[in-house]
Formats: sequence, structure tokens, C-alpha cells
Amino acid sequence: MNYLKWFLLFVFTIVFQGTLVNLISINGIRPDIVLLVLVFSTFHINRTEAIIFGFSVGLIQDLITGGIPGMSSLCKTISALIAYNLQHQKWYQFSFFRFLLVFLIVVTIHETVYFIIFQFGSGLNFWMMVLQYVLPSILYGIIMAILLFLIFPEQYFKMTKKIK
Amino acid sequence: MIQKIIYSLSGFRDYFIFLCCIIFSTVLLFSQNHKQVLSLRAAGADLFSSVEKKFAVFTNSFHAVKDNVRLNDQYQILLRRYQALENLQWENRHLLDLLDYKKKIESDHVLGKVIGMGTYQNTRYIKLDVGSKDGVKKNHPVVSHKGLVGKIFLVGENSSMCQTIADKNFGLSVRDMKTRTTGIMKWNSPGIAQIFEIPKQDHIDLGDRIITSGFSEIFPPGINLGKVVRIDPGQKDELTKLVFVELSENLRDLEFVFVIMYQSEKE
Repeated sequence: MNYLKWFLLFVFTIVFQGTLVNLISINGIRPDIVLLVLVFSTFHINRTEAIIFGFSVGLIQDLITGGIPGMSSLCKTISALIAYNLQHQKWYQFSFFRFLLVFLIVVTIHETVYFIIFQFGSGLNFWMMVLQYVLPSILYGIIMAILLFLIFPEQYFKMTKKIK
Repeated sequence: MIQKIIYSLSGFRDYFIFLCCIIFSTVLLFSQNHKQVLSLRAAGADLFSSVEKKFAVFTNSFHAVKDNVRLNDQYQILLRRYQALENLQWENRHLLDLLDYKKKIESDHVLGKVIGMGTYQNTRYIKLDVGSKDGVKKNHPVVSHKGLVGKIFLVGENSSMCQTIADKNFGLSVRDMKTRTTGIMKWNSPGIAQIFEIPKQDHIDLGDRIITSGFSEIFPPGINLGKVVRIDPGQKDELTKLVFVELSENLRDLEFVFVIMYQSEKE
């Protein structure tokens, strides 16, 4: 997949995240589809590209969806690097469950960093936020990853071939 | 030497880019109120709002469906509450009427609740929750605030049965309140009774109020029954005419009645 295709996929995902994902939100908890696609993309690109994609996607998300500028770009840059490093280890053999495990680690780090920054100056209790937002978001993200696997299994198989 | 440094640094290129991105993001985070950042955000939000408007059709229709379901639920709840309130209002008005009527009754009386009705199309018998313990006896008249209901024909300890004026076998002496003409009234059809034995020369008008005559030993005089709605003059060779009365009390809606101790007083 060339850069243009990845770029278009990210644009589509950001638009989807900013508009239609609200329809599947449960008590304000929304799955981060952009992060899922970002983790997925790190199979197909190199580390530099992963970092730049992570940063760019986060920045665009911040600017167009009215978020705090720098917040998503920071979280997504860290997430992209971690996702890349975890998935390109020599010991790493692709399987869907391992992908889920990587995604679980990445989404946990992403949500934790995000809410740590968000908590500054808000006066909110961090552990309350973990219970009310972080854990449900992680859970919803994992469910979404499983659902996407069930909907588009061939994309995952393509990814498997590439890793091998 | 410099080449060596550059070569060794190139191995960390990714992390250098990573560091730059992190620093840039952090700077952005701490310069939220900067004029240029604000204008960039405004431009981004403007750009995205046009996309959002396109998607608004889907989101709005989705929310409309959700709202519709929610509003329907609320409507059902409010409808049930409204019906309960309407029922309470009706009961309140009914009880107030009863209270008002209670003050007018001169004889001893007991308030009874209707606990059962005949399953026939016309209510011929009703069951009351008062019996001999409350002083109810056979042939005691039963009235509501609207008028005569019937008479007690069976008395138990805690309940009694009332034969209503809707029973075809039930006949009573009645009087036109205005002209004082008397006759015998019997049930005819739902909500309508018929007065027999009224001489043709006796004057009765439509709309005249019909009351009990007081000739009977069971019913005291002056209890309302209804109003005249039709007069049948009969055949030429007949001596009497037929008068149809619309009964004041709709027996199907009865909830509370008074049992008057009229007969016992007489005795």
C-alpha cells in the first residue's frame, strides 16, 4: 500500500472517528478507530514512517475535531513507535491474538498518557478517570478490533503474509 | 570524525524524529492560547464542520430514531399517568357528589361499595360490600347521588345483593314532578324505562323530571329517576299512553351507593 492510500485511509478514519463513531458511543465512551488503523499500519511501514504517520494523524485529529492541540499528536506518536517496536521484534510471530495483545498494550499506553495530560489542571481524580474512561475505552477498543477482524478477516491474512 | 558522528547518529534517526515530534507536540500543548495556534484550530474546525454537515443527515436521522423511541416511551408513561389522574379526578368528583348527596338524605343510610355486577348486557343485580352487620335489610332502597338504583333483595352478613331498576321484573310507582301525574315504571332498554298506566288526558311534557311517588312502602317519595324523552300517545281505542324516561343513573358506572334504612324507619 503506497503512501497515498495510507493517507486516504487515515483521512477517512479521522472523518469517521469525528462523525459516525459518535453514533456507536456508549455513555460517551468511543472506540479509537484511528489508533486501531495506526497500529495496523505499523505492519506495513518502517519506523520513521510510523512515527510521522502517528504524529500527523494525531495533529490533524487535534486540529479538526476541536481537541487540545498536541494532545493526540503526542499520544499517537508514542503509540506508533511502541506498536512498531512490538510488532517488529524477531520473536514476534503474527497471530490475531498477538495482534490483539499489541493493540491492548498500545491502547492502554495511549489512553493512560492521554488522560494523564487531560487530568492536569482539570482537578479530576486520576483513578476515577481510569475507572470511568480509560478502562471502558480500552475494552471498547479491543471489542472494535475483534469486530473489524470479523468483518475484514482477509486484511489480517494479508498482514500475516507480509510479516512472514 | 564528523562523518563518524553523522554515521552513528543516522542509526538514531527514527528516535531523533520521534523526539522532534514529541517536542513539537509538547510545545503545542503549552501554547494553546497562542494566536497562531488558535487561528489554526479555527481553520481546522471550519474545514471539518463542512464535512460534519454532510454527515449530519446520518447522525440526525440516527438520533431521530433514538429520540423517537425515547419519546414514545415517555409518551406511554405520561399517558398512563394521565389516565390514572383522570381516573382519580373522576373518582374525586364522584365522591364529592356522593358527599353532597349524603347531606341531603334525611333518613338513616349506609354507604356501600359496589363489589360485583351481573355479567349480563344489562346490569340487573349488583353486589354491595355492606350486609346485616351494617344494618342492611331486605327491601331497603338503594340510591346514588344521581337517583334510584334499586332495592336490596338478598342480605348476607357482610354483603348484600341489590335488584336494580334494570331488572324487567322491577316495577315501581312514579310521579311526574311537575304535573304530579303518577304511573308504574318498568325497565325498557339500556338507559331507558317505560311508564305505564298514564291516562291519555293526563298532561306530561318532554323533559319533565320523574321521581318516586311514595305510594310504595319500600321507596320514599321524591327520589330522582330521570327525565321524559318520548311520549307515545298509543292507539285511538286505548285509554292510556306510554311515556319513555331516560334514567339518570347509568348502572354500568356505579361504584358507591347509599342504602337507605327507609323501610325499617317505617316499621
